[in-house]
Amino acid sequence: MIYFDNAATTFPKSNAVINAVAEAMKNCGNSGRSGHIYALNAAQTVYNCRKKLAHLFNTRPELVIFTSSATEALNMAIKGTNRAGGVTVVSSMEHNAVMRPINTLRRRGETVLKQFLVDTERDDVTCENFSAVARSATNIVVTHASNVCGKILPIERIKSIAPEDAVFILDASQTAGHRELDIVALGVDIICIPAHKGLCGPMGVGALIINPHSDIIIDTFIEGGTGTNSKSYEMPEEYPERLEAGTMNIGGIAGLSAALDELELSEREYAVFDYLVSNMCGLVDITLHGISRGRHKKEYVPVMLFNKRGSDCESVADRLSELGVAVRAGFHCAPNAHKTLGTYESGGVRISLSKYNTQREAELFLDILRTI
Amino acid sequence: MKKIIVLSSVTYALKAQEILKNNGIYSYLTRSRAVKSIRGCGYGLSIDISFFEKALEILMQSGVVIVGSTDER
Repeated sequence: MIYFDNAATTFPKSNAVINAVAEAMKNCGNSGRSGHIYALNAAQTVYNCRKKLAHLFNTRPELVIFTSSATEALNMAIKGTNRAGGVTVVSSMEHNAVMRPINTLRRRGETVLKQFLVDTERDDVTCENFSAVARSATNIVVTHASNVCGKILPIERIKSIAPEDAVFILDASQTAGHRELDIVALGVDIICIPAHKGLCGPMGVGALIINPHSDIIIDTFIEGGTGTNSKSYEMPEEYPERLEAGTMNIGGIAGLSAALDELELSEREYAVFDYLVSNMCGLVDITLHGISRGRHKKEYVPVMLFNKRGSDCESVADRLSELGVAVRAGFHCAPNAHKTLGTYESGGVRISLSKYNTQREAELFLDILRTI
Repeated sequence: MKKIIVLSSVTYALKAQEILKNNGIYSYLTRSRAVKSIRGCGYGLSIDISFFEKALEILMQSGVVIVGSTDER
């Protein structure tokens, strides 16, 4: 199988990741709950992973909050920083992990939603569009890269235009593991990430990462046991425990820790990606959406959307699956992104690469695509 | 003779332990009765009394919030 569905989850997981998950199951108790060896093994496993993420994102270990997914981290960030009377600004490329929690707040009358249009060809226009709605923003939630077409948004420029006191939340679901992400340099307050995409860790783990220079207070999203100060009904004031009620996914965190040891910001998948874009641009019955030949790799993560003339996207994906290629068709939980790209009615077929994909796989895929 | 420095959570206890280790002071994580008397549930670092004052100074300089300290019992 040629696996081109890495924006959904990277596959395969490495033996180091699989072994780390298994070892945690054998050796770890519940982190932060007891003083015996198994509980301490778990606590050390979690802390080691916090340190690695803190190093990767340039923050402090205690400002790395583990969650079950990027979706949970985004819900926590969006709902936990929203204040009554707020105005939330989002891009037109957002995933439902952003749009649905904001819509819930909007429906309750707790925020007003404003959206700016992303121009995949012209960052200047994207920034102008943002500027037009940014003035009243109290909360800004923006994806770093589209999960539909791979376009990286000009975050530094958008941040420089944003009101200084607005909370800025970055959804780095598609860039974590593909791009350097220094939260201080980016200047955003919060970055939300999954473990299982570009970082190549296991499913079931995400993180909310807080800028060490930010003074935001995040309200608790869930409440419960933290293993500390048990006689109080109040959640702790301190991060990370304030936002980490309940038993953590120790196996998943151990797997992520192993994945971080193997992390390299690889150029290889971009070479394969460029090869695919160049060749698919030359196929008369293939339309690429949101990307064109010659676009600079700094503007994209290795994700692209296409359609085949005269064929429904789900049919194309089914046929590719029969012929040994894993892709994802449909709307990718991001209807606004499809509106932006002009594919709201048709949907599209998404290809997304990881460091494990090869030039040979790209060549085989193109051969298959020409035959269907 | 040991003293226990009580931290707000296991995360801060491990962070404090690492900071002290980097400064040549060794400690071990504990959930003794001494911690319980201050925090209800929580973690502390058990440390030789001869390093206690120095350890407090290092941790405070590092911005680690110390909930309290007590004798090991």
